[in-house]
Amino acid sequence: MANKLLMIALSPTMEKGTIVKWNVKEGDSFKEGDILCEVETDKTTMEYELMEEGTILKIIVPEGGKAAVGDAIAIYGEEGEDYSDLINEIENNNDENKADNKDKEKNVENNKDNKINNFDINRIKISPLAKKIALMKNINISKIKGSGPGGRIIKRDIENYKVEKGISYTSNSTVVETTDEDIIIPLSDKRKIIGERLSESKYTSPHFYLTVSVNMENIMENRKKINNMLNEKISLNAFLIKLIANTLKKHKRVNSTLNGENIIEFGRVDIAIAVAQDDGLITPVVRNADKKGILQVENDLRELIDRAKNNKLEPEEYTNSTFTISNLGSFGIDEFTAIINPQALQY
Amino acid sequence: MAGLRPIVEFMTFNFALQAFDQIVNNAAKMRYMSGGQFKMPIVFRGPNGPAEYLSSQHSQATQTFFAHVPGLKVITPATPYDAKGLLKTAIRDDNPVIFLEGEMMYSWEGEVPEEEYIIEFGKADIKNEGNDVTIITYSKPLKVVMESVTLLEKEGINAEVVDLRSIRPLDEETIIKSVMKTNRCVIVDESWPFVSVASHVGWLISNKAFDYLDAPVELVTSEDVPLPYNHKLELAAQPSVEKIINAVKKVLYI
Amino acid sequence: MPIENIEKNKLKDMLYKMILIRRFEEKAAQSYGLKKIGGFLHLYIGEEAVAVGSISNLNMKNDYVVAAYRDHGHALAAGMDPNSLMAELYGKITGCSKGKGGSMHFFDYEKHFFGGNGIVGAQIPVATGVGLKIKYKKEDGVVLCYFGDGAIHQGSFHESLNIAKIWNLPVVYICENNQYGMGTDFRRVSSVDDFSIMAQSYGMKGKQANGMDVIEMYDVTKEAIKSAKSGTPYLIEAKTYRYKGHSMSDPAKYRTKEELEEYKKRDPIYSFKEKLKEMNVINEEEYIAMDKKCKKMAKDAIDFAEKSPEPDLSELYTDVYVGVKI
Repeated sequence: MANKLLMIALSPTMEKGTIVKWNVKEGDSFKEGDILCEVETDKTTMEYELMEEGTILKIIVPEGGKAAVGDAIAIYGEEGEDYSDLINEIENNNDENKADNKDKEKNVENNKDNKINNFDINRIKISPLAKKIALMKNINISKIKGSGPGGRIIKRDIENYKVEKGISYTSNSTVVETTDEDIIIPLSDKRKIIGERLSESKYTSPHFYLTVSVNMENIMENRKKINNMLNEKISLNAFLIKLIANTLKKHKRVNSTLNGENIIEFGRVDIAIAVAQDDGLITPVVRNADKKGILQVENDLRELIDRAKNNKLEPEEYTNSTFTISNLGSFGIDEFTAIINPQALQY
Repeated sequence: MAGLRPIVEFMTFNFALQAFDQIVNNAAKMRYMSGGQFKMPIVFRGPNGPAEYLSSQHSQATQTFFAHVPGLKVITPATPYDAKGLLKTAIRDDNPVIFLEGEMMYSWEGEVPEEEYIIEFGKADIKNEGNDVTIITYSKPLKVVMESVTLLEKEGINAEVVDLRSIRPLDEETIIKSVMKTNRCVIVDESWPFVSVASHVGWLISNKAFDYLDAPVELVTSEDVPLPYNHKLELAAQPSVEKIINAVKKVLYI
Repeated sequence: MPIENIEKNKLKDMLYKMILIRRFEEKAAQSYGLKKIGGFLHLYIGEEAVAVGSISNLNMKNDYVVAAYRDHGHALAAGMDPNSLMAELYGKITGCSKGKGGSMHFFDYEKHFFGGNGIVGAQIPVATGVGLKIKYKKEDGVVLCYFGDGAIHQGSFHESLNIAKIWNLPVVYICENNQYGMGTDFRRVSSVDDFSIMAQSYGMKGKQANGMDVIEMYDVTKEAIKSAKSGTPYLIEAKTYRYKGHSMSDPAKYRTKEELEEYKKRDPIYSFKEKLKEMNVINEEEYIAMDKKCKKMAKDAIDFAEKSPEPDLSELYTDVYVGVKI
């Protein structure tokens, strides 16, 4: 059966994308995982891969054309299939979308006059206390009917809701299941700031994740040789830092940051590495890693990590990096999605 | 300022408005304007708040006027015991203190020890302990609040009564702790509602105990009108047991 | 002006008004004792000649009266309806201030009675402002402003006199010196015994008058009005005496019974009646009839007040602002 190939959001904030290049023509067949086209998002150019197989029956948005997320950019299916129904549907749909948009505009207009009403209708009203309890107990408040004025959810409603479900969090209820008591650990200022900074980074800096597998055999081999020669251990992190430093020197675009309207390509290569502490995380910086030999990097690193673990780092030792490495490999982690370490991160 | 420690008695604080300039522009400002050179150890005391049948000019609760002014301390006892302990502190204080005595309170009786004691400023007093709702008040309305508490107890509602005793300085800690415990608050204040002690305390709670509130803070104040002469009307204009109980039930959603 | 030159009807009217004030207040005091009237009730009994003598010069279409909290006598002398005044004392909706003002706050905009002010001395700037209005609008009027011997030491008095002279306002300031500011003998709190000399400080004219003599009050006020209207405001100190306490709750222990009896012998109503009898303006029968009429008016006022309805609770929120409903 013929299907629409829809534009998908290839960045968290993408609303529209431009087809930079089609890798397939009408009539071409493709396999699961093939890259069908390249899409320029609001951030970068991404590859569009489809985890299905089939034949491209019709390309709707040509190269250079734009499509909103959810719009059909092509039709695929089995070779020779009739897809005229889909074409009609797409055309109607596009009209509807236009009408829809108009309606939305209208609504916006209406809302201007009727802000308060709209506000009341769309949000769930809940007392601060009830909201806090719901959050603590991970209760979905959209399922609770509020008994307060205007349907406000109040403490009582949350308690009653739990009772209905047979799980009570209230101490005086008789249906308490025998579970250990929750432990509440107050957030340290450090953790609070880490949390605030990283969530800010996660929400405001567009994150996208690319994964490649690299054969590290040669490095491992060399590391062994050097270690034997020196009778001391050079960490894998030192190699990583050195490798990345060299790479950054070569690809300056990556050794950069966005500063308001400008992109700053750093002249220096200062590589931070995330080090866990009992009460948080810190990112000591190996300065000018591109200019240092592997032994120097290792020495710097060892000292920094040591000081980090003893909470002895000075602020200038853990701020103003140009690139940060988070490595969980030693914990047996194959792959994870780190958060960009914002500039001047304090902890 | 020059070395005396005067105590000014106003016949009523309604007449203190004629001395407003001296209190606000002089007493409250001298220390600050002189870069800390002068002390102003002066107490202004006298009856405040509505009595009965006196119409608008003689029935004003003036605390808000004074509490607004940095440099003044404003003290509002509600019992004879508190009045003695606080007045001693007021006289010993090196700052100008407005000491407000509810005009209707002069006939109230209560135990007062003969011996010397003082009550620190800025310490609220829990006049009744409870878990269901916090009622914050000060000065004369404490009486109607306590009457309301007795009636509420009969309905199984245990109200905690916080008597501020001192408006400036304000005991924020006791207020917030109580609200964190009960999650609900009614503020009873015999002055007008607009930019009042009650509205300030209400803001304080929304600011510092926001996540502990299960209901918006309710205010029971005088109606937003000058006090009339007619007795029925003037009673209707002031906080009453009925209004307090209604407000308590509102924050309890019953 | 010699009393013989005053019209007979005018003389009779003055006597009638003084009697009415006294009977009205006696009735009001009774009702106060029965708790039908609350709060403060400052009685004017003994001082009637001051208000009646001075206000008898006025034409209330053009002229104004501004009084303090002891305002019953002035309101009646200015021609306000005893019924609406008594109803106000009862806090009824039919009262001259809809039951919102009470004893201290009689008002009648139409009849040019501008209060009724409860704050000592606060009415003096009000009266001065009314004087400015008359002058500004080039009207032919005058303001009589009444206050007590306590108020004369307020800043508001001195500031008002100063500006009244600077602007030459048509205001006559009448200090009713009943000798006690609440319970304090005026000699204890005043640097001078003769208040009228204070007028000189501000370049105005001043005079003392016997406030127990209605004709003297009438004459001195006439002269004062003439001066005020021609550009020199005037201060009268009316030496008078109140028979009752400062208010109903004042036992008046600060003065002797003998002193009171001495003044009662010079009672303004009694002595004026005797004088009119001597002049054959009135005989005893006419006086008794007049007194009866006043007693009946006072009693009718009580009946009216008692029968009048209380204000509705919604009245609490009316008249806070012009044109704004709360």
